[in-house]
Amino acid sequence: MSQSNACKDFEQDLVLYHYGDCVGADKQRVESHIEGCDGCRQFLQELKAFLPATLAVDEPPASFWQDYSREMRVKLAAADEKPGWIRSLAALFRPWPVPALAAGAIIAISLTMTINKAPQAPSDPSYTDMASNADFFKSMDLLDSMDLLESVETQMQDTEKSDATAQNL
Amino acid sequence: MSSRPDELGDDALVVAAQQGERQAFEILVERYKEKAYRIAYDFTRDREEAKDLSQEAFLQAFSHLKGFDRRSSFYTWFYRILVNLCLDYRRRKAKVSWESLEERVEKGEGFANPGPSPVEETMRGEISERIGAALATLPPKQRAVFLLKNHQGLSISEIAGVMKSAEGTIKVHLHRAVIALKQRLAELA
Ligand SMILES: [Zn+2]
Repeated sequence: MSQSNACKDFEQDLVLYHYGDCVGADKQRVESHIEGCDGCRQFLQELKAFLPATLAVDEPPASFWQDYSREMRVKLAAADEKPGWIRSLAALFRPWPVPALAAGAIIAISLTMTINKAPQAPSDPSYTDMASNADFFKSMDLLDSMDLLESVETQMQDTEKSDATAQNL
Repeated sequence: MSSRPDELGDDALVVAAQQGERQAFEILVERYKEKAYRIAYDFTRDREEAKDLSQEAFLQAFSHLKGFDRRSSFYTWFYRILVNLCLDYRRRKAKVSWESLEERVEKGEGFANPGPSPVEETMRGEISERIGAALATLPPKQRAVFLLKNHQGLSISEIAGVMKSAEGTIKVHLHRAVIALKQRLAELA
């Protein structure tokens, strides 16, 4: 694939333009620019050529979907019989795949959440549900800790790289 | 006149499921299972793993449905659960050996065989392999944004909702992911 260079000021808008996410004044700005800029025009052509090809398409047979639905009904029925907090507790003891530092931070956050929640609604009958939900929704904030994880991972990779370099010297 | 359960909107089904109607949730599963599977497949590129991951997402949604306040759509809420699980899967498989992927491609497993000529299939396999390798090198957040946009066709604001990030941040991730993929695929070509 020959690489064209788009104007740096336009590159991000060209990506959004390709996806139809560039609107209003930004869209007009892009369109009037590409009329007179070969580089940006070619860049757009390349996006059109390679991005659809990145799709990994899988078309499982009908039997797969029948199994899928059947298994789901069994799993949902089983889940219906177990109180939510048992599953949440079990989830806590699953091996945690993230770097220890970040994992510790997340567990600390969930613990804080649970402790803070405790005095608020002791007589509320839905309290147990609420507490287990609080843990769950906190764990949904994993996404928010992605930046932390990425920086930890980058640091680890950098360390590995510099170790490798040191060994090569 | 009452409508058939499978004609009910997501909100009505969620309310019914929250009141203990498991069947209502089963309809939501039927409605979203293919979409959920495809997202999981984007992340795993493995049929069984994609099935397990997407089913786990439905189970987690079901278990915590009472805590879902319906401020967002069920779709957005569920996708956040699913994407979290997919990212978690990516972290577990962070050191995935792409050699095993190559083996699967050689055996004709793991990717679509839509039925064209063997030459086309081989080319498709090679492209998939290269793309899989290139995707694997993206930082997790860039990869997630790219998959949600390029493969799932979510709007920028929907992705921002799913990933709880600002739209500007999503645009930057998408831009970086596309440029990185473009460069890596050119290097591999
Ligand atoms: Zn230009």
